[in-house]
Amino acid sequence: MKSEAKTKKKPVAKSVHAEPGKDEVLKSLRAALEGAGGDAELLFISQSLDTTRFAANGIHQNMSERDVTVSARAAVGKKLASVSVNSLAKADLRAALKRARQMAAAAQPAKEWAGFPGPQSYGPAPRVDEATARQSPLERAGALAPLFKEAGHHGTELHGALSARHSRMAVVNSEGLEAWHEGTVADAQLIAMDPGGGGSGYAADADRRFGALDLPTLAETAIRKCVESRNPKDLEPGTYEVILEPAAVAEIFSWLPWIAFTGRSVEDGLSFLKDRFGQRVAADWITIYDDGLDADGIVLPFDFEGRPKQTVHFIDKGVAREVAHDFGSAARARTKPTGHAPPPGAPPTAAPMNIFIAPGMSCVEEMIAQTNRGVLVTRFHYLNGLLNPPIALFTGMTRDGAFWVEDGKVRYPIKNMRFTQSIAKALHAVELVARERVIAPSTWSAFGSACVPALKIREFCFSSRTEF
Amino acid sequence: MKATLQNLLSSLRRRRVEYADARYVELEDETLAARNGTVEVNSRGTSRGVGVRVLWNGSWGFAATHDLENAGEAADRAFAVAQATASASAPRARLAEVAPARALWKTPFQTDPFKVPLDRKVALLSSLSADLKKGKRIRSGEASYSAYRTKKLFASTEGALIEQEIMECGAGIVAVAAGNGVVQSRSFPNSHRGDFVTGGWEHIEGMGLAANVERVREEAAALLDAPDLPDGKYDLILWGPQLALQIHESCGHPIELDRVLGTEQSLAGGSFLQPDKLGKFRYGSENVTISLDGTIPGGLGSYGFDDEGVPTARGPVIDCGVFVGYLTSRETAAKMKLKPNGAMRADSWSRLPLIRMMNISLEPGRWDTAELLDDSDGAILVDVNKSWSIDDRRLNFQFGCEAAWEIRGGKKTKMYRNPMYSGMTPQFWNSCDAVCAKPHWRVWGVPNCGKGVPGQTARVGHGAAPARFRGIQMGASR
Repeated sequence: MKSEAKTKKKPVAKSVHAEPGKDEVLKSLRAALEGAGGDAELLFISQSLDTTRFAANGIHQNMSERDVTVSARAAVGKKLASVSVNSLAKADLRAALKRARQMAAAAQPAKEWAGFPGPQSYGPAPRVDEATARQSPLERAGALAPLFKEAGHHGTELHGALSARHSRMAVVNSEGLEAWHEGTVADAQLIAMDPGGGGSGYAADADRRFGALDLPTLAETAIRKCVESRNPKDLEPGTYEVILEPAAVAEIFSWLPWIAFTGRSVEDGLSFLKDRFGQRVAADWITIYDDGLDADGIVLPFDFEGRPKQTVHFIDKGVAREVAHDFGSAARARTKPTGHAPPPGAPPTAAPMNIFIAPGMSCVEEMIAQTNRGVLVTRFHYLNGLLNPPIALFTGMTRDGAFWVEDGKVRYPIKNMRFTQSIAKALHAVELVARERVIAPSTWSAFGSACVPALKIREFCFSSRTEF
Repeated sequence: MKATLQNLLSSLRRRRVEYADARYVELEDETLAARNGTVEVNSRGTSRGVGVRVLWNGSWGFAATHDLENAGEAADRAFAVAQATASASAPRARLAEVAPARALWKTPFQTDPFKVPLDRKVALLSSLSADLKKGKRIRSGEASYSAYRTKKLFASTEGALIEQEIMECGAGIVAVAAGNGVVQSRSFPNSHRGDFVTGGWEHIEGMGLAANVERVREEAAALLDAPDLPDGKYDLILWGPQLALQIHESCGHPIELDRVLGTEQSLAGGSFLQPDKLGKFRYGSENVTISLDGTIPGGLGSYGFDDEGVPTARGPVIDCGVFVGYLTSRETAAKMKLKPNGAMRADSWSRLPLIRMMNISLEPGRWDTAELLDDSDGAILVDVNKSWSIDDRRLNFQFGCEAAWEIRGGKKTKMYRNPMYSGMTPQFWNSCDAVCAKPHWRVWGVPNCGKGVPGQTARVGHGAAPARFRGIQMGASR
């Protein structure tokens, strides 16, 4: 880091990371499980999360949290229950297992339950990036200080968050399954804004290595967008061509898999893929899949009950193919679980968390050049996909830079617009897919992400506008 | 834990911090969810830990640990983080003065929901969900319940020492009907997990869940054949739970002073209610008086003290249509020369307190609901939220609801499906010409308010009685 020499003389503020290692964790889990007897599972998740939030070119929230959670799930026949504690102490784990067994006994049988899975083998995962796992708040402060200075030179202010996460997950069950994974994620979200309103720009990236984040370029992009978005004009609501940059696409794909790409959403008639498997549901160049092992995203080799993650192609070259299953929906659909079991205590529906859109051959510049009358969208705000799930009707606001594009050129910034659009329909109207993809970590799960490119869509409905 | 917290605060005093506080929190939760007669979610959890907040050289640091035997390490880490903050020339934080409280506060309740036998809960939820499923075109019947017990011990270098125990619980039912490629749902008493309070199991028993099963499943099925609401401008009557969410999104969030001052831009966004509007901006019509009140018995946003030791408060937000009050922290209050009103809450020991709503309520008006319906021929009444969205300054909003009815002759008549309405916040509240009276007013609990990075979920309350808004743009989500 540029600031390394400078920070050496400053007070040491290194992250403390004294959590027990893999062998100790697995040994503790195994011992607790063996002592308890019966059919049971222990899911261990630990997290060291360090987040530096900033606003108006200064740090205002700087946080460092350390936690472990162990969820004990017991099966009494086909009856299930789970109890979680944030401790690895033997007594706490045994008490949790005992309680889970008592609760399971009072429950009703899950008729699809076929028992805990036995030993599994898992695909490869990247090594933990030690520099990210042990990153200090001084490093983040040192990385941000020059960005604040640069933003100030342009009369703008940087807001956002820079975080480093070290997560570890283990599953051990009474059938002999033993799974371990650990990974790191560094995440940068930068918004450049004019003081008191005016322009606003955004840039974000994530990587398992903090060192791979190009923060100066991200800041430059956010600041440029902020400057270019000053003095926006009104645009009449209507249906236009649209270019969605990756952050906007990621917002949509943080909702869509839960609404449309799970076994339960198909059973319930909420998925637009229902009764359409094998049929065309999107443009030829649209391939959407979930892959916990693709190192272009955030890797998670197994699900919350230790089943290996399988690659599930929801839409392959425009054709509906398959959905993600947990044990329940898999049994009802007479297929096998795909490695998408939800965490204990969550609603029993598959959890597709590692979402990808296959890259295309285009780029944002080409998309702009091929747009006659359209809107370039940096990102969305407060998107909601519950309006009418069977047609995947979504709404949301543009944010941090929306621009009018005409005759192949960006003409001027526009005031933020609300879209109300069937995403099922929009997927048919995708004309171009960008080659470059960006990872957006999930705001809902430490292990989730969407790795998506920019998309150009022929028709996209903007239903109203706002005042800025 | 008192000694542990005092020891770590003593160590921070020795390092000459300007201020520090420490919270020990024990969280306990229970969730059961049943579908079509079978309980599918049956879980409990506990989480305990210590969070330490340090103000050093005008810069904040926060650290949290689950390792109670080494809680002092969190204090060391928080101090180091504050030093790192200072290294990046952070703005100097200053806190408004507050008398250090030494207090004990507990949610009043009759029956501890955690002590109600599990088999009784299983029987209730499985029975409700099975009965919901009995309708001909009902694809699924669902019933759920959750309870939360939060024990907090707060201590500060100023001498505050506060113990609290907060009990919250709630439940809800939903019937999902399907046919001819259409899926519709009806919920009671609210969607998105139901209605929640601070209180005990007596709330669950008093909700009337079983009494509403038949109506809910019949309305869900009826929606399959109902027409879409035609696009147009209508007089709109918002019934309780949807009005609660309207208050939440278009008033509760924009009065959070951290958003106003720009420190929540990275996720939640800002606010149109900038400081130059305080005391003079006409937010709504003279029928609109909105208050903040963390003392309402049973309100989901009711508690004794916030997570920086400030007692919860009562006060005006919108007074006869004029914007007059913010939700504040000690730091933001100092910046604006206001009084802190006890709004800083964290959802866990591991997270930093943020400005969160308590109970933000539309005060009752003078109308009887029968009188309002009589006076609203041709108006559209909407009930229970389906989707929600609002821009990052809280102006342009759009809500989708489960069902709508045309009002004719003082009664709900023709039913419409997929209703949605939209507007701009000040114009919307200025169109409010009727609010129903106290007998029709109640507090609704919203258990899933998201804010912050990393994300936090707050449980907040909103008092509301049915209200009417003139000339609102409506249509169908199709």
